[in-house]
Amino acid sequence: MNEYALAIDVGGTFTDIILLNMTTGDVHLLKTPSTPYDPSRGFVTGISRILEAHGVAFSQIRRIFHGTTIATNAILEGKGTPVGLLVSAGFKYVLEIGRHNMARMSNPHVWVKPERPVPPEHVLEVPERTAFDGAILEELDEDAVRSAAARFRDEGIESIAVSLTHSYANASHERRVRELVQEEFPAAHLSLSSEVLPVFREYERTITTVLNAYVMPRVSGYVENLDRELEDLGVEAPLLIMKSNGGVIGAETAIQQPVHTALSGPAAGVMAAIDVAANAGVEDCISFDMGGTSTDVSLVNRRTPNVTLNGQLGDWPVQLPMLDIATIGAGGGSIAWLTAAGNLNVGPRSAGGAPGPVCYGQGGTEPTVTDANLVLGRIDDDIAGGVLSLDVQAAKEAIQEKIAGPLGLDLHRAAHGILQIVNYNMMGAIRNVSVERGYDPREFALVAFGGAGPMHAISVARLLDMTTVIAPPNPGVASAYGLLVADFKNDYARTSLQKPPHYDLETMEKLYRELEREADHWFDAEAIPPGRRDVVRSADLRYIHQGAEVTVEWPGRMVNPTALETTLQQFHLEHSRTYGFSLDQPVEIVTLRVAARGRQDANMTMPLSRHSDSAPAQALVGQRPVYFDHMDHFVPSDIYDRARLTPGTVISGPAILENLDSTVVIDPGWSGRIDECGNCIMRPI
Amino acid sequence: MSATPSKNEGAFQNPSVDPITLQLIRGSLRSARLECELIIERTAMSAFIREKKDYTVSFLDQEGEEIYGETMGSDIMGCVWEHYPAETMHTGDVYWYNDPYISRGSITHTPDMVFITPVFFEEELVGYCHSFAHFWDLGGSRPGSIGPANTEIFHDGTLVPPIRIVDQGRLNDEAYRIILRNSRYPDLLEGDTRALMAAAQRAEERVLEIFRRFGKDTTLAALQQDQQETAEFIREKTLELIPPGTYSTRDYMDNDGVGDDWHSFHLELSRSGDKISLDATASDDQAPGSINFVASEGAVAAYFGQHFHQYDPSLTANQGLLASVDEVKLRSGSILLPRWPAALGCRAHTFTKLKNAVRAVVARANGGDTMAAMAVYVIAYWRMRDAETGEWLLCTDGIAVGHGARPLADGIDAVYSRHNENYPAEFMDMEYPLRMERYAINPDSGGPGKYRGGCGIIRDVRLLASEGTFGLRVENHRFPAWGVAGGKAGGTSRVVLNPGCDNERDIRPFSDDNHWQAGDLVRLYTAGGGGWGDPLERDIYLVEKDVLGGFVSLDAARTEYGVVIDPTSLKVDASGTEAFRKDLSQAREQPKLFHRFIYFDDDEEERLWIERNLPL
Repeated sequence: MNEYALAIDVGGTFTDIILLNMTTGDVHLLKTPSTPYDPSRGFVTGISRILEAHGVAFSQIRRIFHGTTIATNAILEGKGTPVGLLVSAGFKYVLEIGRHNMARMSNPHVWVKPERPVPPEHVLEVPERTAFDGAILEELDEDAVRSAAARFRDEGIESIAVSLTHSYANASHERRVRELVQEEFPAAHLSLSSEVLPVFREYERTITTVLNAYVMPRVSGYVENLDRELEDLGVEAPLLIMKSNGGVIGAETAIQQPVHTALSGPAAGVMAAIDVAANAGVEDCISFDMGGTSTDVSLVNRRTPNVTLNGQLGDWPVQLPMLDIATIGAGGGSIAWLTAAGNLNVGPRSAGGAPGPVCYGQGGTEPTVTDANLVLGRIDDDIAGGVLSLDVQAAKEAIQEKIAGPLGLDLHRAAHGILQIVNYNMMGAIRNVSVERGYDPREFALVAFGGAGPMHAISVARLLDMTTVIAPPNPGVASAYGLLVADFKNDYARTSLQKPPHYDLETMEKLYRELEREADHWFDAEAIPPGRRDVVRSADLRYIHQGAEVTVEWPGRMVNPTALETTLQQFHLEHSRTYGFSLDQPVEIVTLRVAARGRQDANMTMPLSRHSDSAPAQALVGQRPVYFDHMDHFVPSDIYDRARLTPGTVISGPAILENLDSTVVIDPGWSGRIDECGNCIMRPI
Repeated sequence: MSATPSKNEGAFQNPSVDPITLQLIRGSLRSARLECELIIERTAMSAFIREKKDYTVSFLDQEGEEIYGETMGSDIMGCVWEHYPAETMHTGDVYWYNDPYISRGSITHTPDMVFITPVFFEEELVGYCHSFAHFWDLGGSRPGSIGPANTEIFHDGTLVPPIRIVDQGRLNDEAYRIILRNSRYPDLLEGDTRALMAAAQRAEERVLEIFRRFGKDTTLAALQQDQQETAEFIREKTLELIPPGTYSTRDYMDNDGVGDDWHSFHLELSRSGDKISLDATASDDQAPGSINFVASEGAVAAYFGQHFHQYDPSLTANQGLLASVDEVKLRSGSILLPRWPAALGCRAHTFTKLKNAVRAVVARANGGDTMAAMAVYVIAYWRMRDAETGEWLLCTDGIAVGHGARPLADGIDAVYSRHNENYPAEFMDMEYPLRMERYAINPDSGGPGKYRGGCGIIRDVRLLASEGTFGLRVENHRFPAWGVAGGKAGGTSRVVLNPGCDNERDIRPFSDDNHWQAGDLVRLYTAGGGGWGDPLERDIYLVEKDVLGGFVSLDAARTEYGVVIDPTSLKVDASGTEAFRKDLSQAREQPKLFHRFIYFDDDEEERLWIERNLPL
């Protein structure tokens, strides 16, 4: 009996499904419309369809991986559940005041403070006070907690966040609050800041805890429902959900920490890029996932994705470990427009799937990136294998009327300008994750996927002097691949300020052990056998008086003077690499961290590609003029059917490789080689 | 002053650099600025820079005119060239200064320091980059250098005239050590100056990349064109929105920190034909204390130009903003152009009100279509003696106020100046022998209006160390932020020691050397912004929401907004409100263009009232 793995990546417009035969390595793909009103519908009908089409029984599924946007959408669209927040007396306005700033470079004449997910009247104070070292200065007023819980219950507020001052140093009051609330209001969903984000800075910890509470009922309802339906269908494999750190967690864990799934989809894309690059023999890469409305880029160093603790979801800071993904609001459907003073901008408004770009002929009137690509010959006027015929004339007229005319440019310069603006924005995003973190992008390969990624990749690479671009075989569904190759991952952290020269090594060791115990509980819950458990310690350090910390790995599993010395040395090096200088000044240890990873048991590496035998000549389907940005004119270019290209084939630009879900553009002066896995690896000649 | 730009025929057509290349160069400068500012934020040591984010990176052209940044109108390079002519500069140089008088107001108080790198492309000096930040301590009379009690610039800390701190890559260690030696916290000063120099050097690299990518001629032409584009837009908007005539305003500072008298400045905007002038010569003489502001013609013009920038914020903020004004008149010896060696540390009181005054003269010209006044943002200097070492610790705490209401929106609640962040309570607890016990919205501090002024905050800070002092830079205790277009003034500020205890007493809000002991608690109430539009026209459900959230009291909902709300359910009584508002609109003082103490249309009208009721 063959065993199978399923990966289901639910995006805003499409749900991508991959069915992998773990015995033979055969792969089947399905792209089906998402069902935003009830995302589990699209999920269940999708997997039923693909299993049926290939004669696979539900009981043959050994692994089932899922990328979801439920949490992200609830946060970005402000459509979470009403939340009640309990804070220490004196801090009712912690959300309202925030860090009391307006966004950098915003205009004070027009800037409006974003509406908080919890209005002040739903923030209740409970008398208590804990000091930063964990000492209890004032006992918890239990009656106040009870009456607050009763009030939330009576007002029908079912999700409660608890964030008391300095609870990262001593969680006993928050835990007691949980007991009291459960007595008074057993049905309430609870999120404790000491569990969601036990680090200092009250606004950041509180907003993250609130967001967790805000999405908890919805995510848990969705996951429980899905779990039940899968069980009813006869799926025995546990449902695994991708989280923002690039690892997967079981359904039960996801229900407790739903805010960790906020970057579920984009994180899967990064994990895919790591695997794609590794198959091509590359360890350092930058993932470049360009879809219809946005583009995500992220840096991978020695097969390890960069992680940030300064993430942002919409207007809110979220200081959980997340893959360091820069997102810009520009994709194939992004609209080009002029400001009052006549400056060309592209995005963040998108024509989306409906009405879509002008050339789709479905009512779109504003020129998009796709329209510009079409006018320049970079995409064919018949796409998706002839299913969709594009209206070049309409695209030309829109660009002429809205952009070229008012700017006094000719049509092709204007269309090219739209692409240039987008490509420069992409360059900026790549610089955010590389140059600004002390990495030189020239030392990295660009892994391009998403529907529009491989079309823009060489232009973007050239702006950054990058010399390797990799397009995986099915760029449009690459993110779903990322789900298949992901390990289990969970992160644990605790702030414990250690000031030099009195580093309290004993306390640090005790805290690390506590964090590791928490990790072990989780490993047990996910049924990960001891042989596949990896635990890595790290610490956030800073020069005394600095405000931002640098995370460095703690060597081994012992806290002793030698390990401390090594860690301090590593900090100086890392500071110098990132910021260009280090100082001969004392270093503070601020937060201790433990990263727990459970390795997958099956080999989920993607199989070699299975191409029909055909000569490159058979893959050549035509020729058309294509506009390339550094040529400034149209060049006759060969057009290939990518599916017919066999491993080892080398194609010299100017050329276009077309397949069902994406187009690869190879510039003049570059060539692309098809490798054993079906990747197209492009380099300057 | 910039020449009036030439008018261009045709919608957006530009003769030399095509609009797309221009946009790409603009975008490159923007991301360069963000990258360099990030270096400062991540590596600076003093909390004022890294948590409060009082820093910026800007770019200048060959003439020293700003091509992108936030220090508009300052002549950053003028005083540098006097000592180091451009032809004597080299790649790898870094220039440094903080002297407000030598720089003629490019820097307006000593803690602000600027680091400049020249940019050489193909051996030609093509422009300059500079990084700027507010430093922690440079010596002077008290920890934190500047303060309410200072009366001479020498009390404000060490003056650094323009010096070449890095000469072709070699640090001038002698000068560096002298300056570090003059700070109470030399480690912080070293960390901060290193961060600023690193940022200025990174900016230089980024500008060079732009020149390499686009070529020298295209880049230089694009940068000129960008300035011209901003200038044209600003000029056009100014002429569109300011009809011919003369419009004046006067604003008042509570006191100067050392005396009890109020001080005022006067600003007059006039348009005759197409000539726009700003005249501040009728301002009071300079004050004995530290609220003097070394204004420059460029800075005043830039404040004015910024007002018109709001109509297309996508335009680059550059020297072009100065094009809205043809002439600025200042009087030497006045509070807006003091003579050496007046102290300047607390000039924020004056220049915040000067920025408000720009809005006031525009309001006079257009009948109130501007933002109301914001309150002056607050700084507390908490100083305490460390029990272990006996050394004095300093916590310079930047605190939020309310901003002015706008013609289409409420004022912003609880924001400092702009993007400056506060210190988390947990940070203060951890870092200093202090405990922050309360941090809340100050109810009823936002000026009533159709759009409410932003609320200030309440902050309770307790001293845990055995002894300490504190200085307060709190304004708007006597003179709140004015309201406009029928909107009323914001609430005033107040500072109380040990509220609710037997030894409770009010503290002078703008004062220094206040002693406190272990266990004492200081409560600050900061002021709110002015309101916009008639409060009786405010949406009753917004008033209900404000009452529910604790921004407006039940009492003020009734007396100021005429809204009747049930005290138990906190629901608005719509029909009761309608009737009550009708009566109130007859009985009350009738709205005029401005409000502060009284409704008034003209600054002389207000002056008479103030002289009668708040005599010097």
